[in-house]
Amino acid sequence: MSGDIDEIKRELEEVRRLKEELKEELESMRSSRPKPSTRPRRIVVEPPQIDLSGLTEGLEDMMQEITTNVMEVTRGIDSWKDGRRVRMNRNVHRRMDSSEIEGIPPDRVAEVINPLGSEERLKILDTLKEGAKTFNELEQRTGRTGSSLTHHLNPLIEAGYVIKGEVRGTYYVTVEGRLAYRLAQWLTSRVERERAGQTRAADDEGDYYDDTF
Amino acid sequence: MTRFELTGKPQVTLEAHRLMTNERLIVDVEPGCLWSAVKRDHEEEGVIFLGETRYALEAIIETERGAIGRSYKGPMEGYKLYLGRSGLEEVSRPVDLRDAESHGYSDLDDFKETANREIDELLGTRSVDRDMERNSSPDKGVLLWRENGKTCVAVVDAKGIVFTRGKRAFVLNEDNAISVQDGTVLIKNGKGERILLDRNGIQQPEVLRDIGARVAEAVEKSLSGFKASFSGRDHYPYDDREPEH
Repeated sequence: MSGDIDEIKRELEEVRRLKEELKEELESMRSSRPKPSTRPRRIVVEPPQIDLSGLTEGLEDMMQEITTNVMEVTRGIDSWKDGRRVRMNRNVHRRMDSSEIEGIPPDRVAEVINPLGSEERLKILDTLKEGAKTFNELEQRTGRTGSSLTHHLNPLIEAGYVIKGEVRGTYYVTVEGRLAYRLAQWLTSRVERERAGQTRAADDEGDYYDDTF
Repeated sequence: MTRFELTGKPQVTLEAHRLMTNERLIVDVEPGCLWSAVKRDHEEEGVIFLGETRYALEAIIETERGAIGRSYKGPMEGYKLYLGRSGLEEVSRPVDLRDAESHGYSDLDDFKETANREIDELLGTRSVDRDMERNSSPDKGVLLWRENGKTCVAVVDAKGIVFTRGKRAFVLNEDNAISVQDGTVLIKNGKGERILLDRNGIQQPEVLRDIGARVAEAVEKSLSGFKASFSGRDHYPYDDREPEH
């Protein structure tokens, strides 16, 4: 009996020792932990990770492609980034150099110029520049009537400078007709300027001789 | 799609009749044309006709650089299918054998058989909107015919006109115009903006000037739902961490 009591005492002692060890260990763990924060406890939620790399890369590719295409078709346009007036792309076709232009034979020049060869025809083009006109309206504007007007209209139609709308009977000036008329006006302005320059030069020369002699 | 088929007794026109008229298109049916009403789902929806018919089309669009396009005119050969109110019954009488023979048919059944086949050939795989056919206005309708082996389609209503022939196309309404003819493509909107593509490339591409901004705006709008994912990665309302820089 006394042996049993001794055994129990030993076991109790062992439990007490283990308890002390646990207590020390616990104290040691507590001392190694940082002091608790005064801030409220944070809840950290990782942001949803959406992989947009494929999408953004695709967009970048698309934008690059659009930019390349736009730059390609608008090559030669001045100041488009500045928002100023965009000029027509003149580089799409290779420009003819002056020797090539001067090499155009007279028959080709005549084909383009001859249909413009009267004041009445130029009046027709000038009138149609404002918009399509009926035969009657052209009669009123040009002062030519009936067959006389037809006589001047037909060469312009044959040259492709004017087209007739077959439903309303209206006449339109084509892109080529507008261009031809504009170039005729440009030619006129250049020739007149040249003449004016020569006249001034002659006058100046006259003044010189007047002064000299 | 329900088939169109002939209905009623074939007729022959006795006098000239303007089938379609619009600012840009005129179609005239001459006397002596054989025609028959066509139906779909038991409803009469138009006519198929054969005989002298002429048309004029003004497929021209004005631009500040000059007019683009051309006029088309001439006879319309072979069978023509018109969907809409034709008014042909007002200038016609029932066909007799002599009328059929004058067009090379031995009898009326011969004409009917051929006409039924022609309907299928003209329509091909096209489907026609019933609303378009049912309108009662005389200036609205769809006309199909063939020219040099190519099917032509003209659609006319109060708002404008659509015409296609092979690779040519012309669309015009109050605000917009599209023309694909003779190697030139013109697209014009109600604001006066236009794109013209021809052998010289793109002419006067003003509308492309701010395309970068337009595309950027469109992309921004389409991606607006992803903004939080792009810009809020380092700062969330439920996260009190300081944004990382």
